[in-house]
Amino acid sequence: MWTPAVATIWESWRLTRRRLLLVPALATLCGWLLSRRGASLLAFVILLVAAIAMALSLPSFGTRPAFPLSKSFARPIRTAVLVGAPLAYVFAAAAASYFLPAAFLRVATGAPLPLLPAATLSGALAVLVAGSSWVTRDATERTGLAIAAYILAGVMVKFLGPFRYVATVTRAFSVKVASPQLCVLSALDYLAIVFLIGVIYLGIAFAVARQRRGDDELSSADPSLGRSGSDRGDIMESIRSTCVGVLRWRCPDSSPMAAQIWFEMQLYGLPVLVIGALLALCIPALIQWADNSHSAIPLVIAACTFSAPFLAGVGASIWNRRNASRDKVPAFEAARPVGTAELIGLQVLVTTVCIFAAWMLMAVSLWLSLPLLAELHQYGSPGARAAQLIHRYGVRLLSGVTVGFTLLATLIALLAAIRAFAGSNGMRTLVGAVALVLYIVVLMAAVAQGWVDAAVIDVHLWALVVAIPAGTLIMLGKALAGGILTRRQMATAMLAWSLFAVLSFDLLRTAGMMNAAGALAALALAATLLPLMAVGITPWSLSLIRHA
Amino acid sequence: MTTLVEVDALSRRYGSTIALDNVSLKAEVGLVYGLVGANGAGKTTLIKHLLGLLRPHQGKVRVFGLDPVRDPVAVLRRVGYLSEQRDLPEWMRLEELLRYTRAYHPSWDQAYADQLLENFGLDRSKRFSDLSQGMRAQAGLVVAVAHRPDLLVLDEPSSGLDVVVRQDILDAIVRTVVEDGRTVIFSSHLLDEVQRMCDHVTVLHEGRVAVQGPVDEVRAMHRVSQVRFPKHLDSTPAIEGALSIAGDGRSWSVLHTAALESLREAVAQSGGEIVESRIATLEEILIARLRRSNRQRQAA
Repeated sequence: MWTPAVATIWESWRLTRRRLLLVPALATLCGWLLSRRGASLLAFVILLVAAIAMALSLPSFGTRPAFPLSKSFARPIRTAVLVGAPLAYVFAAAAASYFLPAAFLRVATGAPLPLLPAATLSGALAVLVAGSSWVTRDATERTGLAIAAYILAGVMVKFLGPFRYVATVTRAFSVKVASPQLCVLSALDYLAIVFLIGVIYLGIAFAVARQRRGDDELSSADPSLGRSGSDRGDIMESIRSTCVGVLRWRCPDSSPMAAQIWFEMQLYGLPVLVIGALLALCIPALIQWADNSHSAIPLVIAACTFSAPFLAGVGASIWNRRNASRDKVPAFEAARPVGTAELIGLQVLVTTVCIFAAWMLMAVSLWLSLPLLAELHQYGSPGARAAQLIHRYGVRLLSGVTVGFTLLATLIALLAAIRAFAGSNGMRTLVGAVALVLYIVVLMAAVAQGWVDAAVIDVHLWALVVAIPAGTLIMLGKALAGGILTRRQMATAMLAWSLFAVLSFDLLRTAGMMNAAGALAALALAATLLPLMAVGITPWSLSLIRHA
Repeated sequence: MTTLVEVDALSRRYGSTIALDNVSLKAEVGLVYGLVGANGAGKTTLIKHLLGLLRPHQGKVRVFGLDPVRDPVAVLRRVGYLSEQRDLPEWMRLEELLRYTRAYHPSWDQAYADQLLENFGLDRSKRFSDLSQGMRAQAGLVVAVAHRPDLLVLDEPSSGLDVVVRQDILDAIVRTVVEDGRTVIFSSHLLDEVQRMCDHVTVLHEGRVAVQGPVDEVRAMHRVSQVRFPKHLDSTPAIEGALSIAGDGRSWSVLHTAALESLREAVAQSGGEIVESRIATLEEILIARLRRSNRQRQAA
């Protein structure tokens, strides 16, 4: 019977079916390989991680923020059903993404994997994530709710205690064989989960009713609703629109490069710097907290904050600019009279400089805050220590910073290239990346378990040693032949790379890498070619989406 | 005349869908070229090829004698472009967009930009997120023409513009560009607009060129004749040379490409007579051709 509820579930399935089939299938394959070798605990962990990934990603449906089926608002369907059907689907799909592979492995390999409790937890997590992301269109509120949801998930696991039969994680990993006792929920636990899902459902239904009536609409003047920056909306959008609104300076019109730097800085660089500055202000408080509480957690948090500028910079920039059209690159940018190599070079440079500057701010803050830790009082004042370091390492410090900066720029450029490939060959790139990650995981597990000889790793390293120079030559050749890279740009890149190579060799020699095992030393040398490879592959891959 | 744009046997596919099939087009200096067609006919795809935003799967595209994919900077510097999406950065103020665009175009004419802004009544301190759809189109138009491009490419420029702005300002802009000896290529759904403004028209249908040529010639090739029969006809009469026949009973309206005398003979053979005949409008031609194409597809 084709009812509104069935139609809504069908629509949910259509929007999520690819990832729903792909990820569990790959996890099953991986789990099957491991279970056959007796490592069923590792198989359980992989299935669980895949299920958690599904639970986190499913509720978005890959559509717009807030309630994903908002196009159905105009359809004759009650809000209770409009929310209930996709929520039930999300629960069932997330649960099935664990349950079916685990059941298959139990039958096929006899691995004693827990079934219902883990599947229920996976489904409950998906409902929790849906609850945090469907209830509001406001990006900042949604981020806050997401954080609350993750905390609640942690509390839920702690309170329900599904892993209580395993004394410690260490012990669990040493057991090697999974057991249905690994993840157990009592009848009361199931009741608690049902109650939680019911509460979340009511909350979403109320919020969606508001969205449906238009009470939750953001003002059209809100820049976060803007098309270029936008419809998906996230915390970065809020930060960006605030930065652009508050810190604004005149666009220079003296040259295209000056104008483009202004564009990049205003929209993408400034938020990274602001995040860096804010975190730099937080770091002394974290250090003080660590000192007062004698806990390492604040220090871990302080260390983790260093990832924020990188994620903000790389996540938002480099032709990841969202637009309303289906174009891979917005026409506004693609139709600029500027070469692809210049444009991407500038974007990488601005992003790298801003991330680096943010890190420097945070590092200085950390350095100045270290005396707040009682254990480090004996090390003297930060100024004196810095002077000592500069005196001791001098030029090497500078060359280290230069090499670090170049490597960061290379990483950003290569990520941009991967994103461009994903833009031009979405599914193939995704499958390739997932297959590569799985291959590496299986290889590492195989070596760790002693199923294959460690020499296999050497073979892979040598393959990389050959692949990097070959790939560099091919990519530079393609970029030159396609007219994407001019001879002048190529010569400049070679010059800059020569400096980088000299500094890298010196650092590698000082670090004793040249005395390392043959494959590792050769790989370290070959890796110095990566910046040059990025010079070729990044503009070339981006030209694929600029001129699709 | 100098050829500014040359598209030769251009084909493009999106998966299994044929977006452009063996399309050829030449644009000379100082003329206005209109691209007409239903949704999905391939107008925007063709325009994107001209800008180098799409790489031809088959065929050749040359703008100013250059390949826009291989040499985008030299081509785009001399082109003004208004996209159908109007995807201008929402966070920018109009003043900032003008300065930003000016940096790329040394030929920027600030006085002309100021005049257009005044004509449109646009506030340059406003962000794009605060502008209506029509205002965005107007701002996009200013940015596209203020550097006095050699080639102005407008993708559905009228969408979002009210009828007064469309007739007064858009027409004036296009006229100014052409009087300066520059070229305009624009796509539109509004056939009266194309008929009024264009020197040359290309009708695209399902990725193919259905009709192409100077507007006057294309129109002159097609006539609408009123045919009267002595008796009431229950079904559409078969008349040789007719592209479409509409009507009922004794009076029928026939759109035809055949010469009037040939049609008169064909009608006479069917027992009817032509009572009135005039040159067809572009709208009538397009509708007749689309219906005929649909009929042929259904028959096949």
